Amino acid sequence: MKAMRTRQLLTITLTFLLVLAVGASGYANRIEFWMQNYDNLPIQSKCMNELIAEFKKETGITVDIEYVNWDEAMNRWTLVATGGAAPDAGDMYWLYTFSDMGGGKYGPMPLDEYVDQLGLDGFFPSSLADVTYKGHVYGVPWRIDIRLMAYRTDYFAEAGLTEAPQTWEDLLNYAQKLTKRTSDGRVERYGLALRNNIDVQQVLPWVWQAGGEIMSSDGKIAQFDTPEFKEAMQFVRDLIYKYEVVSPFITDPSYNEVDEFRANRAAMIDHVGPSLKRDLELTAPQLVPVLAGAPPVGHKARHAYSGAGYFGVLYGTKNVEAAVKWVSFLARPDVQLRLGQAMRQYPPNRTAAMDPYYTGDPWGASVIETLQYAHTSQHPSPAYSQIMAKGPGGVMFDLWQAVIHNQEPLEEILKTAQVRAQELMDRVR
Amino acid sequence: MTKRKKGFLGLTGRQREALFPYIMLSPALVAVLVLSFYPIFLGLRLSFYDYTLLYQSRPFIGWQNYIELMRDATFWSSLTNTLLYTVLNGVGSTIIGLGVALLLNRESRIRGFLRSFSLFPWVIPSVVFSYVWMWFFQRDFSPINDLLMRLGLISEPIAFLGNLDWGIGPFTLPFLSVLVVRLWSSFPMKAVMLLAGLQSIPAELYEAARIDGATTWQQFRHVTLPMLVPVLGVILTLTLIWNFGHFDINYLMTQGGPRNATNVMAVAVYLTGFGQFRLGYAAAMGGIMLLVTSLIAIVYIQMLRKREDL
Repeated sequence: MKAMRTRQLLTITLTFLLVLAVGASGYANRIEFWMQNYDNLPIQSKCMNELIAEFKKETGITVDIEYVNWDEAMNRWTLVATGGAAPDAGDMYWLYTFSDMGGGKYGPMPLDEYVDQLGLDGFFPSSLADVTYKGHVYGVPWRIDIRLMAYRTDYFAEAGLTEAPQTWEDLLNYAQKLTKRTSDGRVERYGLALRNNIDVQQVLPWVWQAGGEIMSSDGKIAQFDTPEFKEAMQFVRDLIYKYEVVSPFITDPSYNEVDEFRANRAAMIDHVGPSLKRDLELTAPQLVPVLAGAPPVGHKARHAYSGAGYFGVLYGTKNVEAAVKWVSFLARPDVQLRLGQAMRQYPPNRTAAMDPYYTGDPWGASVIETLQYAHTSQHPSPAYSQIMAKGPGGVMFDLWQAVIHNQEPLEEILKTAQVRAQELMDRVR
Repeated sequence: MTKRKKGFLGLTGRQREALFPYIMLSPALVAVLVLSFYPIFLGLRLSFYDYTLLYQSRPFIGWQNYIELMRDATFWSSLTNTLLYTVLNGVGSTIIGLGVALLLNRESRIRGFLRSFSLFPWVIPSVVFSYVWMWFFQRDFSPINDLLMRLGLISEPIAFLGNLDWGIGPFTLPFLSVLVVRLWSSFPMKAVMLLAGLQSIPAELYEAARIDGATTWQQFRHVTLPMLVPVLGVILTLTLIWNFGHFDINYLMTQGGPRNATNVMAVAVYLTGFGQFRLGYAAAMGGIMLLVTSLIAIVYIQMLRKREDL
């Protein structure tokens, strides 16, 4: 009887251990992946399910995907970077900020020892800036977020313009020719539309084009009170108030540059994202045949605002190897092309980007061409995200509002911004 | 010698009776302590630290955040706007609510319809109506501008949310436009509460007033208003507290802009905490908000006490 009990106990224990071992092995072969929504969720989800199935067939690893709405993405990733629940891998952005928040304990995990596995050789260098921070590599870029110039070919033809502007002088001349007024002098159509005033990212390309930067390359010194910054802001002010080729009502929070473009009230939009064409396909398809894109104009330099979303691995994962394999799988050119097509994004992988799907479309070709002028949006100080914070109180936000409202001298505005930005940068610890 | 009878936990019947309300209230008290007081305490504690999400070191800095607040122009303008919105919207929506309540209290065949209709702004989610109002106020596509131009009242469309040239001091056009939306969204609740108050006034009082020869205005002035004072007091105090912490309409329509014209404390706290990641500084702003709302609440409690004494 006693021997029987012992045998039973032994069997139960062994079964329990076996279940545990099988469970653990399953756990090791299972990763959680978070991804934001893009364009059309059913199409995105179909594409991802196919990729996940192929990946499982190839590696035996199961990927559990969770889609994150963009509205809650910022809060989610902030929580992840500050010690909240995290997936094994994710579709991420703002590497510098989240990396600093995590402080080497949470958030994005450096993948230096897996770099060879990631296959980053075939990517545009500008996109790699968004996955590299303080000399560490954090993942694989997968969608280009570059800002280009959009214009209406029918208005260009009407004004006798045959090609896109190249310089600030061209931009002004073109905008003057394209601005249409009624007989009593009211503007019916502006030559150029700037982005909504809440978008402070648009300030950067003007400064870069004037030959400036907002901070020194070591991230220690703010560079707002400089001749370059002043020249850039003066040019913008002149476009609005001196030459009247840009609507002064960009000061209105309800102003939207794409609405103006759609309503035939603007001939060009500066610093617009690649998704404009898709937006017009859905909301104003009649404008797609007359839409064209080009790299932004230059002055002392020619630069376009550039960022990239990337796939990365998160601290806290118990399956680093599996997560890295998944991220590497997503770096393959054919996969990048499929991701781009399904989610209407532009891939930073050269081979994928050079596919006729993109280069055969004039707008797509413009996006790819603009990559030559890409200037990374990442900056070498964690204070950057504070400087660029949206809403009153943000250094760049307050500066931009003061510039476009034309109520104070530029010198004062830039001096104030310089002091405030430097204060934030000095606080970095 | 008779032995005193003791029951549960060795307490006498009287002691048990005295303890009973506390036991019954304790779950709610615990919930309030954990869900309200503890976060408030944590928030206040946070306001004494240089707690920025971007940095791992979060040193104790004493009153430094509060001292910095005193020098912060954004803080002062948001505090001014908050106070103005609180008073103007609190009083304005109560007056409109009273007018609507008086209308709804009159005998009419369509009273039911009118009552439902007047609740409309209350039941529409703020996200939805904020965007609709933004469209109404949009310079180039606004139906209001279209109407005014067709009527020949204006020659150029008005940028309701962007024009800072019109107005005096903080009363700019964007400030007033947002105020209109806030009034529109907040009067229905006042109307419902005041309607309930109006219906509790005995008809005999009006009858007596009429016999005494009182006009409609005199009836309103000497019967309706005095009888509504308790309800009005509650409404005004609660409105002041709610308005002081108001967030959604200002954030959704303007994010506090242009140039701080519509910025209020709640929006400033959010933007500082989650836009600039300065949680300690945002907590200090929250501390000031707590102080102000506590003052209003103390006044309210005093009023209630006085009324109970009467």
